[in-house]
Amino acid sequence: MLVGVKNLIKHFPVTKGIVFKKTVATVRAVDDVSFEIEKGKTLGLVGESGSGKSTTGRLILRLLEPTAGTIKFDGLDITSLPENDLKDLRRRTGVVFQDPYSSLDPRKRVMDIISEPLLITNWGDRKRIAERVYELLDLVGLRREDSSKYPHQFSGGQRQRIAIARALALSPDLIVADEPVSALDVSVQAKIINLFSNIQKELQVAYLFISHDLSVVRHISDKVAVMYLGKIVEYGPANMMFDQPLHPYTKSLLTVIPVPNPKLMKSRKPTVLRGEIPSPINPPTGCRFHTRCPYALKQCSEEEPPFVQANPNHFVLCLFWKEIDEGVLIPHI
Amino acid sequence: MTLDSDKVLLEVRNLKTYIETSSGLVKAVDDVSFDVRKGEIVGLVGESGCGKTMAALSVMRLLPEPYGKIVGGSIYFDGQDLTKLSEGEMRAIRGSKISIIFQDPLTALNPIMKIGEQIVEAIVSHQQVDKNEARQRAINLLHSVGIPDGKVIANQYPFRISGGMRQRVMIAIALACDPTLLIADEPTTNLDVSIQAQILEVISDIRRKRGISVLLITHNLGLVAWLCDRVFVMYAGKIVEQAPTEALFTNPSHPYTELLLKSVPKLDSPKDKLATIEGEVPNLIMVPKGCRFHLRCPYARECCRAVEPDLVKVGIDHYARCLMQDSRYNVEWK
Repeated sequence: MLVGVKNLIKHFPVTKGIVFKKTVATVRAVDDVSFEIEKGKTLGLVGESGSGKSTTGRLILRLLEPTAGTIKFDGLDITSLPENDLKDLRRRTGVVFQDPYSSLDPRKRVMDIISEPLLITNWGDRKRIAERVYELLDLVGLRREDSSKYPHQFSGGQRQRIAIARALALSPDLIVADEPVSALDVSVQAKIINLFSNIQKELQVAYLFISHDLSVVRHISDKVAVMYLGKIVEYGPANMMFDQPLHPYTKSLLTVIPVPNPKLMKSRKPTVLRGEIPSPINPPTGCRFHTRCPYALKQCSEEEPPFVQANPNHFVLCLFWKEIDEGVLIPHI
Repeated sequence: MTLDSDKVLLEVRNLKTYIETSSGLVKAVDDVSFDVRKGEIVGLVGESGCGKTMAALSVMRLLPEPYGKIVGGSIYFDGQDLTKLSEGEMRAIRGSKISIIFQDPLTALNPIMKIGEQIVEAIVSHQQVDKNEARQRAINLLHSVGIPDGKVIANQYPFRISGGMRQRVMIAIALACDPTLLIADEPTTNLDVSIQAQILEVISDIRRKRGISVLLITHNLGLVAWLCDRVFVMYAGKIVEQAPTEALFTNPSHPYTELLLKSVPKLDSPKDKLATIEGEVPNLIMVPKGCRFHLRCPYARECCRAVEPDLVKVGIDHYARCLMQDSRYNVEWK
């Protein structure tokens, strides 16, 4: 196990006033989540906007201070390590963001962008660093000559390659990729997804792959966690979750993802969820999904569901998952 | 292609829309023909920069003039050539007979005007009704796009409501004057999956209940499979394939369509390597000679470099712009 997260919580205060700041509310961005990332494997983190998936990614990198809970990285508890002791963690983790237009410094050449982490950590002399940059460019499918160009001379897909090269510079054990293909066109997206897979095969780096696109996540992940309003509602091996989803939220999402297959689209019955995603400032009581759940009973609004193991390695946050799975409970909308 | 004027609502023929830029003339839409029949949902798919949005804006005559211009072709709507109309005449059609909704409803809505007023404005600008009646209609419209508490929402400003709600409001405005054609330009691209499903439900609902034709512009092949009756695939300013939806997915006849379909990660067939398309989308200022796709096409032969392919028939209502499908050239591949 490379990363172990237990009961992780992150609350952001909503403040009012400038001089006499007072907290008027709390955004429960991440509320008691637990999961693990294996060495050299991919955990896909899916969810809609506001579900807390990006916050979770930042917490693991310790770009944010957790409110409570523990994060272990390669056996070491990093939850409350002081900034000075985080250098080792920084060296062993990398990050790739969604927008390759704003995540690369427009005034720096590719050589400087990719070599920055190497310089900061005194990785070697100039010549060795340049060699390393060429090696990285080669790894992500760019040419040596590209190292003297500026980001604006590249397309979106190529920029994402640069960002990946930078993340890989120090041979990290973990890369947190936050929606890395969402801004790209279909044909470019495929190339970047393949690149992620190839790199993993070659370097055994683990990924926390954050995305709202379930098809992409299924393609790339070994395990998947589905988030809704700060909670992981379902967690398990990718094939199990997609073939036999247990949580009503996952079930519904799987029926409304557009799939490029007209026959399948016509034959399936979409369960369209009603209403909007509630605000994480005032999440619904009981099960957070009960306001939109097609199976919800009165009990769901009163009692918080436990995170139970339904099958080996397959966890679900639902009071009635068994009844739903066995068909005893049927959707009432 | 046979033209049945009873059935065809919009017929775009040999449309050329060029845009002047500082680096040269961009042939965004280059000799494009497509049609939308009554009550049909037609998809226009392609990746960024293929000209699909420019084609839609040409139909609405909303090009960024004077830089963007229709330089050739015709757009027949209900038997009338829209390219020949004056701005005043066009204004009478826009919003009343053809409506458009965009990807980002927040920039499309007026931020300092209440939602109700914006719908009322759309109604009274085309129809002779008094304010009270218009207001009642606005609330009914909101109801028909799935906003039950229309009265409350009508009193809000756009920034107060969610993205999905805004797109519903946009659709309500688009429907205000009972148009016969709705152009939807990436209507759900910014929305979450569960909200996207709601909006798609609204769109197929209004088609069913009002018999409206929809031209859906998208990059998402899944949406096409879900909603569309027929599809036009655009690449570098040209239609490269057109077909009834099922035929396109079961029997893609242009290499671009084929590769595009294979490059999408699918829920039902995970883990194998995704197909990719070599190279990048060509610059529309300097398009490649011959077939525009030949530089990236795995099947390309000598003739593809020299000859610009025509759309040839490959099945019922199914056409592809590829020499492989053309009996005059296809011996080369056999």
